[in-house]
Amino acid sequence: MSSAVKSGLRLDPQTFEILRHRLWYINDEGALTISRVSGSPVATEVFDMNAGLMTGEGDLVYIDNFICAQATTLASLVKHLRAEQAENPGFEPGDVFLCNDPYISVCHQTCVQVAGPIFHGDDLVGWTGASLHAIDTGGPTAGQVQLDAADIHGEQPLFGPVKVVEKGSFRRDVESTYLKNSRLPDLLALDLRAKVAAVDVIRRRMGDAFDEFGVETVLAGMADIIDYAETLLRARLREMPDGTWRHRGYIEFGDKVYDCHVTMIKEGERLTFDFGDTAEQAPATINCTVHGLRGGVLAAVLVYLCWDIPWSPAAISRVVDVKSRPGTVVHAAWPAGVSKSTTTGIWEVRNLASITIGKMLAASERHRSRAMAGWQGVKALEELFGKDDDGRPFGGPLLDGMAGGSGAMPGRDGIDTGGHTSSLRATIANVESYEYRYPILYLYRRQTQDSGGPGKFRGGAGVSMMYTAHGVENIDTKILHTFGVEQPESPGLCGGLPSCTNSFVILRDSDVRERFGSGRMPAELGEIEGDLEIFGAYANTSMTSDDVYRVVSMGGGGYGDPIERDPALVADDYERMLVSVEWAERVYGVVLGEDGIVDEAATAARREAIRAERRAAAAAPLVPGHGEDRGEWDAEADGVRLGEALFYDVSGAAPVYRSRAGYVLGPATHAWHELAAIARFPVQRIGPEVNANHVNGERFELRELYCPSSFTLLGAEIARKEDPILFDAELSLDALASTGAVA
Amino acid sequence: MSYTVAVDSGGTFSDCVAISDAGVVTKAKSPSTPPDFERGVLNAVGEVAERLGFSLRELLEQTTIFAHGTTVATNILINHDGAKTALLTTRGHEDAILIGRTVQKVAGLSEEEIIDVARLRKATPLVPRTRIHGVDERVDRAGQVVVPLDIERLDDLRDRLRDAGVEAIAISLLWSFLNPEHEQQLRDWAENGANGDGPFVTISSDLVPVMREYERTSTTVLNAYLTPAVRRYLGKMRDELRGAGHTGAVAIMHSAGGVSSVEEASRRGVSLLSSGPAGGMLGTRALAERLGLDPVLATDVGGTSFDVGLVVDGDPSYAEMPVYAQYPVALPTIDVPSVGAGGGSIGWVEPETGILRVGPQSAGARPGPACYGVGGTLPTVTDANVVLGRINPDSFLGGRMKLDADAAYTAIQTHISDQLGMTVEAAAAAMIDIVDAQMADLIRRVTVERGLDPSAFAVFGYGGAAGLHVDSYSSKLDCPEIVIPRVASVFSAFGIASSDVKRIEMVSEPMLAPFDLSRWRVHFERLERKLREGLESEGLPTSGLELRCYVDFQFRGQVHTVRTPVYEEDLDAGDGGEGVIERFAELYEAKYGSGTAYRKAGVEAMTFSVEGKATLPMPALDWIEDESPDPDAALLERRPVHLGDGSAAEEIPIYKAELLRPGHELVGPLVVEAEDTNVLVRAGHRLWIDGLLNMRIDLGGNQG
Repeated sequence: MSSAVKSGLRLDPQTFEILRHRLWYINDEGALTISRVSGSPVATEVFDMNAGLMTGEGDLVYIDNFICAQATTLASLVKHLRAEQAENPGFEPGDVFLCNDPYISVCHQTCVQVAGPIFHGDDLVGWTGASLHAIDTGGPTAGQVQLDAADIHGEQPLFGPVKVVEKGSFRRDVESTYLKNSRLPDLLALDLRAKVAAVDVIRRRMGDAFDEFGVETVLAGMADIIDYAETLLRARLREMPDGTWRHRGYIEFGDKVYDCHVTMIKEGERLTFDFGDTAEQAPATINCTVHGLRGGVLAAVLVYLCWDIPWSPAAISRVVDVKSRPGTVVHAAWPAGVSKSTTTGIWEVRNLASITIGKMLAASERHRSRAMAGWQGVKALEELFGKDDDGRPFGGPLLDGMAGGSGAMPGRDGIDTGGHTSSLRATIANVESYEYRYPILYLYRRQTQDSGGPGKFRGGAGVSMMYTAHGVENIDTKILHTFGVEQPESPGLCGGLPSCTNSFVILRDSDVRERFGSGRMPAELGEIEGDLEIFGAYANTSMTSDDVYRVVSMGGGGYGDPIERDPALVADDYERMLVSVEWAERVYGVVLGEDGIVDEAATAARREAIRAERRAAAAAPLVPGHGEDRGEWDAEADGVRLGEALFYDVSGAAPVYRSRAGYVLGPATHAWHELAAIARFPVQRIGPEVNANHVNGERFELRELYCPSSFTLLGAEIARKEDPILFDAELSLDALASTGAVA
Repeated sequence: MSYTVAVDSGGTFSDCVAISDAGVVTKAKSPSTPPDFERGVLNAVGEVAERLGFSLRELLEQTTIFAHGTTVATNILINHDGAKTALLTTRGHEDAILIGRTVQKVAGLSEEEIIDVARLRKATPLVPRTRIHGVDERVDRAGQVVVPLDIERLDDLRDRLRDAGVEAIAISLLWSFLNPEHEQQLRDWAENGANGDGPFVTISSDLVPVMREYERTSTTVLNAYLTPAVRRYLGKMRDELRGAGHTGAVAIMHSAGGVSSVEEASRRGVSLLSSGPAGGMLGTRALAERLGLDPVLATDVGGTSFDVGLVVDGDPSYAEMPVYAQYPVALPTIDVPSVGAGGGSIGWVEPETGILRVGPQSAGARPGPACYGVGGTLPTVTDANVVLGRINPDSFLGGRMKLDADAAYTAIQTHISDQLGMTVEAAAAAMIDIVDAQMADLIRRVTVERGLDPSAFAVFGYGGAAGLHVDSYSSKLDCPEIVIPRVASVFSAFGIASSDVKRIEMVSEPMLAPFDLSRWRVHFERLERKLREGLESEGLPTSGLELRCYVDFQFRGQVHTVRTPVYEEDLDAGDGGEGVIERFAELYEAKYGSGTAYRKAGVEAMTFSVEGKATLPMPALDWIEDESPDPDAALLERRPVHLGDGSAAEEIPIYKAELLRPGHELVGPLVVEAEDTNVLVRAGHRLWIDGLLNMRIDLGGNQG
C-alpha cells in the first residue's frame, strides 16, 4: 500500500503499469490507422496527423507522437461539444463529430478534426479523436494558404462541430456538404474515412479493455495516467533552477514584421509562459487562436522536458500556465484569419517555448546535456496545383522542407536533416514518390552546406532542393509559404549561432534542358543560365519546364562559441560537405589546408584574429564600470551555472556574474547583457545561406554579446534593428541566495 | 541411412539437428566460436554425430543436404566491420541515404526511445560522404532518359575509387527499376578490367528493382557492405564441409523464409539479415502443417527479447519494411516483431512515483539474473520465477547450473518489495504479471494491426523462457491451444532443416487502373523466366517448383500497398484487372476494416512479383503411437509453487519432460522440467503429449 500512498494512484502498481501500456498502444493503433486509410501523402508519408484518448470530461490522457498540436486541440473540441451539443443533437454510441473551426479547437481550417464519445453500455465514459491535415477544404485559393484574405471570411469555409456519423452510419447530407467545397473531394472523403476509422478502432479496443479489466479499472487507469505524468513532471521541475527566461522571434508577412515574445518563469513545481507582449494580430493567415497557442506550448514541454514521462497533455496543463493577450498574433480574436497558423503563429509559439526551456536546461547542472538549441525554426514549404499532360488534376503540398536540422547540445551536434519538433516521426517522401505524383524533376535534394547553426557544437544541417517542371509545360499554381527568409529563426544557445534562413528563388527561362541534353546534371543554380526571380516569405506563382526552382529550408541552432569547436570536428564537417573551407575559416576560425587537413598554427592565429575582430567591433557594456578580472577559477565547481561560459559567483556578499575564464562582469542585480560587450553585424555574418539575396534589405541584425575580457561569445540574438537587447536569462536571486548559503 | 543436417549459428550457440530418412531427429548445441564461426558449426555437427554414434566425417558423408542459418551478416552490421564501400548514384541525390527521409533517426526505435529526443541519432553511415559519388545521368518517371550517361567521363572516378581502396560498390540510380540501362552500364564499367578480383559490385535494378529510392539505395548499400564478408565466410564454410567429407548440397537460409545456394547467398549478403528468426518461423510452419494447425502464432521468448511471428494459410507473413540498425531493407523478409521482454528483463521501482516497472533494460546473460551468481544483482524475471518456485534452482539446465535462490530473493527484496511495502513473493508475482501483459500486448498489436483476431490462433512457444509464460499470455488472448515443440531449444535449426528453396523476383512499374493486362503478362513472364533461370543455376536438388504471382496495389496517393495474388485466368479476363481489384479491395478491408476501401480515389498497381518455391528432399518426422495415458512414471515430486498474486503457494506436481510419452494426459496446475526449459501449466488446462513428443496444452476446457 505504501506505493499507492506515494504515488496517490487509484490502481495497484502492476495493474497501472499494464494499463498504461495498453492504453498507449490503443491510441497509437488509432493514429496509425489514419495513415493506413488516408489517401493523402500528408498522412501516408509525412504523418501530419494525430490521435488522442480523453476522459469523459475531455481531458487528454494520451496523444501520440505525431503532430502534437493536432491532438492537444482535441480537448477543446470535446469541451465545446459537452458545453454546446450534449442535449442537441446529443451523444449516442457510434457518433462522430467533425470540426474545422479554429476558434473552437483546430489549429487551422485544413487540420480537420473528428471526435467521438466512448460508451460503456449506456454510459459515456470517454472520448477519442483524430486529426489530419487535409490538402484542400475549399476557399479562394487551393490548399491551405489564403494569402489575400482580409479576415477569416476570406479563408476556407468553417464546418461544425457537426455530427457526421450518427450511431455508426455516415450522414450523407453532412458529408456531401463538407466535401463539395473541396477541389479534391475524393481525397477529402478518404481522409474523413481515415479519421473515422481511427476513432472506431480506438473505441473497439477500449471496449475490449473494458471487458478484460472492468470499466471502473480502465477509467481509474486513465485518471491515474494523468496523475502519474503530473507527479513526474513536478519532480522534473523541482530539479531545475528557478529563474526567468525570455525569447523574441519574428514573423515576416507582407511588408510587416510581427514580433512575438515569451517570458518563462520557473518557480518550484510551476512553469509559466507569458506571451502578452506579442504584436497585434495580422488580418489573416499567420495568426493562431488560443487553442493553437496552448498546443504549441504543450508540444515544447513534451519534447524538451518529458523524455521519460508519458505524453499526457492533461497532466502538463495542471503544471504549466499559459498567459496571452487576445487580439495578438498568438491569440487571435475573431474575425482574424489563421489559415496558415501551423507554420507561423503556432510554430513561433513552439520555437519560443522550446528555446526558453532550452535556456533553463542549459542552467541545470544535472540536465544540461539535454539543453537543445532551437530545432528548425520554420520549414520552407509549398503547394502545387495544376493539370497533368492527360488533363488530370493534381495538387498538394511538397513537404521536403520538413527535413530541418535539430538543435545542438552541450556535448553533441544537432542531427543533420533531423526534422522538427512538431512531429518526431515526420518523414519526407522519396524523390521518386513526388516525381510520380507531381509533374516535376529534381535536379538535387541534399543537406545544405553551411546551413547548420555554427557553435562549439554545430546545429544540424537543413535541406535544400532544386527542380524543374517535367512532363507538362506549366504548373499553374505554386504557393510558397514560410517565414524566416530575412532572419534566421532557429535560435542558437549559449553563444551558438542560428542556422541559415529559408529561401525561395526561381531561375526563369533557363537553359536547363540544353544542359540535360549535353549530358550534364547541374549541381547548383550557378551552373545554369536564366533570370533569377527572388521571393519573400509568401508568394503565389507558377512555373514552366524551362524554370528551375530552388528552395532552402532551415537547419538547427548551434551551441556555444563557434571558435571553441574542436578543429577536427570542423574538418570532419568539411569532409561531409556540411561546412565549406571558406566558412570553416570565417565562422569557426579553422583553417583547412589541402585535402581538408587542419592547419593548426593558422587556426590558432585565425581564432586570435577573430577575438581581435570582436574586440574591435564591440561597444562597451550598456552599464559600464563593473568589470573586473579576478583571474582563473573553477567555474564548474565553485560557480552556479547560467550557461556554457557564464556563471554566478556566489562566494562574496552579493552574487556576481563571472565568465568561465574568471572575469567578473558585475552584480547579479543587473541583467548580464548590460554588463557584456556587444557587437552588431549584418545577419549575413552567420553563413552564406543567411538571407543571401538581401530580401527586404536589412531589417534585422545579429547581436553578439561577449565576455569583455576574453571575448568569448556568451550569447547571440537576432533582432529588428530598432528593438532593444533582450534580457533573456536570469536565475532567481532568492534561489541564488539559498544556493550561496549552502555553498 | 542418409541425413538432412541443419545448423543455426547464433551469437552464443550453434544449434544442430540431424533428421534421418526414417524421420528421427537428433539435436545438439555447441558454443559459437567468433570470429571463426565455422568451427562452432562443425563442433555442433560433431556433437550430433557423436550422439548418433558416428564420427563427424561419417555423418557428413551420409548427409544429402546441409542447411545453414548464420548471423554472420548481423554480426558485421553490429560490429560495423563490413567492406569498404562506395556508392554511385544519380548526381544531386548523393545525400538520400544520409537524409534517410528524416525518419531514420527514429526508425526501428521503441516508444520510450523516441520520446527521449535529446538522445536521438541517425544511423552510423555505412558509406561516408566522401565515398558517395554522383554521376551525371537521369531517367524520369516514364523511364525515359533525360540526361544521358557518358561513361567516357568517368575515368577520374575510377582513379578515386581505386585510390580509396574500395572493396565493394553499390550502384543505385533514380528510376532504375523502370530503365536499368544506366546502372548496367555502370556495373560493366566498374567490373571492367578487374578480372574477377576487383571490388564486389551490386546494382539496385538487379537486387531490388522497386520504387522509392531511399529504401532501394539503403538495401543496395547494405548488400555491398555485407556481401564480401558473407561470401568469404560461406566459402570457408563450404570448403570445411567438403574437407570433412560432405559431398551433398549446401543450402543457406535467407530472410524471405527459404534457402538458396551458397553462390546465390554470396551475391546477396543483405538477404541473410533475418536468417535466425526466419528459421524459427519455418519450424513453426512445418510443424504446424504436420499437426494440422492454422493460423499459428510463433512466440520466441529469450533472455532479452520476445519475438512474435504469424503463420496464416500456411505462410509466414512478410514485414512491411524491415529495419536493421535504423536502415530499411526493401526485400521480402519474414515478419518477426520484437519487444524487449524476456527472462533477463529487470524489474525496478520508479523513484518519483513508486510505480513498479519491468524492462526494457535487460541483464542478458552477463551480468545475468541475480540467481545466476555471475555478477548480476538486479532482480530479473528469471529471479521472480525462482522466488515463486516455478524454477527449481537445483535442476536448472538439467542440474548443470545451480541457481542461487537466496540471491534472487534478496534482489527482489532490496530493489522492489521493501520499497513497495509488499512481500517478496507478491512483488515477484507482480513482475511476472507485468511481463506477461507486455507479451500479450505485443501479440495483440501484431494481430489486430493486420485485422486478425488473436483468439483464433494456436500458439507455438519456444526459446528458453517460453514455457513459464506461454500459458499466461495465450490465456489472456483467449487462444485455444499451445504447442511447445520437442525441439524447442534448437527450433530455428529444425526450421532451417525443413525449409524449401525460395526465390522472389519483383519489379515496380506504377500504373493506374484500368490496367493493360498484356503489360502485366509481360512482367510476369519476364520475372518467371528470371526466376527459373536463377533456380536452375543454383544447382540444388529441388523438385516441384510452385510459382505464385502477385501485384502490390494501393489506392491512389497511398503508400501502404496490399500484396494481392494474381492467377492465370485473371490475365485472360479482359476486364482491365477488375477482378483482381475486387480481390485487392477485399484484402484491404480485411486488413483495415470494412468501409475503408475507397475505390473512387483510383487504384494503382505498384510492384509485380513472382515467388517460386521448390522442395528439397526432406524426411517426414517419425510419429509415435500413443502409449499409456498414465504419466506417473514421469512424476518427479510435488512442491509448493506460487501461482496467484504471491500470497500463498500451492503444492503442485512436477514432471520430468524426458519421461513424458505420447498419450500422457495431465491437468494443471503443474510444472514440467525439461533439460533446457520449464513449462508451467495453469489450473484447469490440459497437457498432453503428441506422437512427435511435443507438449500440447489445451486452454479451452476448464475441467480442473
